[in-house]
Amino acid sequence: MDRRQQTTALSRRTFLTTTSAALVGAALGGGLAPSSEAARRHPQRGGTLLLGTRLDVAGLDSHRNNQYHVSHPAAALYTGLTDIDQQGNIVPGIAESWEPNQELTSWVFRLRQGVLFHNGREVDAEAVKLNILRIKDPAIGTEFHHGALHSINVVDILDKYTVRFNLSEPDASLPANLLHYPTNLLAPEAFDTASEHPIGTGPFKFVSWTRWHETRLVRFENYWETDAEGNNLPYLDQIIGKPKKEDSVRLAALRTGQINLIDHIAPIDVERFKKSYGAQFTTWDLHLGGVFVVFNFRQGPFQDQRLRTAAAHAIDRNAIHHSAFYGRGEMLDQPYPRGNLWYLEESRSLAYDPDKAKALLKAAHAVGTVIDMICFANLAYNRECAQIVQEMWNRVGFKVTLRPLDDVPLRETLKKGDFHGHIGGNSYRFDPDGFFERNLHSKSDYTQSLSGWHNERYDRLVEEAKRILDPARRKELYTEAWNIVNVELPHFHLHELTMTSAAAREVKGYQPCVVGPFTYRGGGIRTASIET
Amino acid sequence: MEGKDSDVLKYTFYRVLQLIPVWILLSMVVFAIVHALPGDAIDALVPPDAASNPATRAALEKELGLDKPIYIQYLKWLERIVLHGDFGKSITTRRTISVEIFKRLPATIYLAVTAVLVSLVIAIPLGTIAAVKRRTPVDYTATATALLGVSVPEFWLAIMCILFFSLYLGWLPASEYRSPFDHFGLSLMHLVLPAGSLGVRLAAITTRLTRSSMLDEVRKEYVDTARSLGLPERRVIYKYTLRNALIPTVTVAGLQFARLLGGTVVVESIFSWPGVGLVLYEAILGRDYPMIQAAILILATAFVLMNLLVDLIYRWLNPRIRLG
Repeated sequence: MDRRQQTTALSRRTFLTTTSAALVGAALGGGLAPSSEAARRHPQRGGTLLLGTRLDVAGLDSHRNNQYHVSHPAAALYTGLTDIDQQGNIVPGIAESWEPNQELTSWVFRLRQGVLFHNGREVDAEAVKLNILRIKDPAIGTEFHHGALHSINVVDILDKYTVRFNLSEPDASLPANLLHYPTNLLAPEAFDTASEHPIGTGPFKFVSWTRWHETRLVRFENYWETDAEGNNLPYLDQIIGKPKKEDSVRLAALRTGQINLIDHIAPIDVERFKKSYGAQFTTWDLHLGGVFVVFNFRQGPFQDQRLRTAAAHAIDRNAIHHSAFYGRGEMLDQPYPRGNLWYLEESRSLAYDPDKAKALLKAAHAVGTVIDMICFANLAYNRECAQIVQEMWNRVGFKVTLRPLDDVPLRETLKKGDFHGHIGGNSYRFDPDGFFERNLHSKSDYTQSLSGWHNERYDRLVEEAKRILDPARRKELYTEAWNIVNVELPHFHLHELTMTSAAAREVKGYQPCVVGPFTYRGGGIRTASIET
Repeated sequence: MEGKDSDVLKYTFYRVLQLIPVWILLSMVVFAIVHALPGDAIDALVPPDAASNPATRAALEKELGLDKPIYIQYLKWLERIVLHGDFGKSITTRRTISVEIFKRLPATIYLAVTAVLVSLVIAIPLGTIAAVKRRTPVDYTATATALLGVSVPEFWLAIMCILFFSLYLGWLPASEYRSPFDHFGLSLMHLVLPAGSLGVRLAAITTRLTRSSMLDEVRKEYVDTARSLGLPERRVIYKYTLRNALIPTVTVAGLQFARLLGGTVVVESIFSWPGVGLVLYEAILGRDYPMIQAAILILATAFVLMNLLVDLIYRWLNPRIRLG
C-alpha cells in the first residue's frame, strides 16, 4: 500500500474511531464538566455508601498493588485513559479518542482537556507518560501491570493533550489495557507519597485507610463526568469501604443495616437469600472469570499427552458445578461465557468419559501414576475444585497428592515448575488477548510460570489476532487456537467464576457492570445515591 | 513497711535490668526465625520476570537492605530500633511500621483487656462456687460448662454470636470497631460480641484453674483456724482463701492477656477488628519481613513486661511472698 493509500486508510480509521467514541460518549448521556464552571450537584441525590467487600488492597500505591475494581473500595479513586460501560465494552475515559496506525504498532491517544487529578493538577500527556514509565519499572509494577503494558516500548508526547504509544509488536488489545484496571493514573508529583495518600483522577478522593478495617473516600468535586442533565458526577457524598473477609459476617452486616452494598454473597447462601430477602434487597449475578486445570509441560507425567487426555476425560464438570459452585454460573470449557462477544461457538472440548480415561491410562501403562497437584489455600472455590478433581483422577487410576499452598510458596512452586497439575483461575479479560496471549503464548512469562507449553501454530494464530481490529476475524483465529488447546491441553477449563452482589433498597441508581466492577462510565457508584 | 516497699522497688529495678539481655536475645530469635521462613521477600514483591532479572533483584535487595550479610542486617535493624525507635517500612504497604502497629495497638489492648475482664468476671465466681460446693450439682454444672467452653472453637462461637445476637435478636452490631474516645456507648456495643467470644473461652480455662486452686487452699490449716475462731464462712472464703487461690489465676490471666495481644487473628478477621494479630497474619502471608519482625518483637516485649507486672501483683495479693 502506498503512502497516499496509507494516509487515506489512517484517516478512515481515525474517523471511525473518533466518531464511534463520540457516539458512545453521547449514548452514555454524559460529558465533560467544564472546569471553568462551578461544580453543579444534583439537588436531591447524595448520601454515604457503606460498601462491604470480601477483599482489601495490600497497599495504596496502585502501581505496586492491584486495585481490583470488583472488590477493592480504593478502586473508586481511579479512572484510566479508557473506561468500560455497563456491558464491559471499552469506551472513552480520560482519552476521548484514539487511533492506531495500520500495523497497530503505534497508537495516538487524545486526552480530554480539563480533567484533573485530586490535587488540582491537570491530566496531560506528560502525566500519562510518567505514569506508564513508572508502571513499567520492573521494581514497581506488579505482574499484572507488566503483562498488560508489555507491548509499550516508547511513549511520545506529541502535544499537551496528545500522547503516542510506540509498541514493540502489533497490539489490538492496547485500549483494553489502558483501562483503570490495572492502568491507574496517579499524580506524578505524588508518586513518592502514593503509599500514604494516593492522588488519582477518579470520582472519589482519598481520606483514610486502615487495612482490613475501613477505607474512607469523599466525593471529588471536580470530577470530569456529568449526567445527562449536566449535573456533576458522582452523586454520593462519600464511600466508606468496610472489608469483611467472612462471607457470613458480610451478609449479616448487610441484613442488619451496617452496610448497604456488598460485592459478594457466598454461592451457598445465594438462593436462600434471594428467596427470603428478595423484597428487601436487590441482587445482581455477575460473571467474574474462570477456573481451570493447568498441566505442567516442563516436568512430570503430564508431559505425556495420553495422560493429559485421560485426566481431562476423568473430569465431570457437572459435579464441580453442583459441589463447588452450588449450581451457580455455567460449566465452561473456555474463557468467556455464553452470550459474550468472545464466546467461541465452535470450541470442541473433551467430554466427561471416565471409561475412556481408564483405557488411556491402561494403554499408556500409567495406572497408579503419582500426580502432585497444587492449589491456592486461601480461596475456597480453588481448594474445593482441587479436592473434587483429585477424587476424580484417583477414581480413574491416578494417585493424586494435593498440596494447598499460600500465596508466596505457590508462586515459588509455579516458578520452579515443581508440580504436575495446578488449579488456576483468571479474572475477566476485557480483550481476549489478555487471556489467549498472556496465559498460553509461549513467550509470555505467565505461561512459562504455569504450563510452560509451546505450540508454534497457536503462537502464530494469537499473534495474528493481535494484528487485527475486526472482532469476527479475531474470533475465528481464537477459535482455531482454542481448539489446539483442547487437543494439547495446557489448560482444561472447569467452570465459570461468578459473583452475586446485593444492595439494600435505599441504594438508588446503582447497577454493577455485568462482569463485576462497581465503577464504570456513566454508572455504578458514579450514579449511585442513597435514598433518605 | 518502708523496708518492704524498698524491697519491691529493688526487685522491680533488677527485673527491668534483666529485661535488657532478655530483649536482645528475643530480638535475635525473632530475626532468625523470620528469615528462616520459606519464601523470598523479593519473589513476594515483584513479578517472576523482575525477580529473576539480576539487575532488578540487586536494586531491590539494596533498597530493602537485603544485600548485606545477615548479621549486618540484624545489627542495622537493632540500631534503628534502639536509637531512633524506627522499625522501618512495610515491604507491602510501604508505610511506616511504627505507625501501622501503634495505630492498631489501642484497639488490640481494648479487646484484650475486656476479654480478660469478661473471663475473670465469669471464672472467679464460678470457680469459687464450684470449689465451695464441691461434688454438688453446682460443681458439676460449672465443670461441664468449663469443659464445653474449652471445646468450642472460637471462630464458631464468634459466628454463632453474630447470628444470634445480631441477626436474630438485633441487639448488637455484627462487626467493626468503634473507638471509646469517639462514642463510648457505641464502642461498648461493638465490643460485646468479640470480647465475649474470646472471654467465654478464656473463662473456661480460668474457671477450672480457680476451682482447683481454691480446693487446695480450702484444705489448708489457716482456713480451719479461721473457722475455729468463729469467722463467718463468707469472710473465710472470700477475704482469706480466695486471695491466696487467685495467685495462679492472676498468672494465667496475665499470660492470656499477653497472648491475646497478637493471638486474636481469627476474631479480628471475623469482626473486622483492626488489631495487631491480623496485620501480623497478613505480613506472614506476604513475607513482609520488617513488619513480621517488628510485630513479633513488640508483642514479645509486651509478654515479658506482662510477666513482670504479674510478679508485682503477686506481692500485692500475698505480701508474704518474697520477691527475687
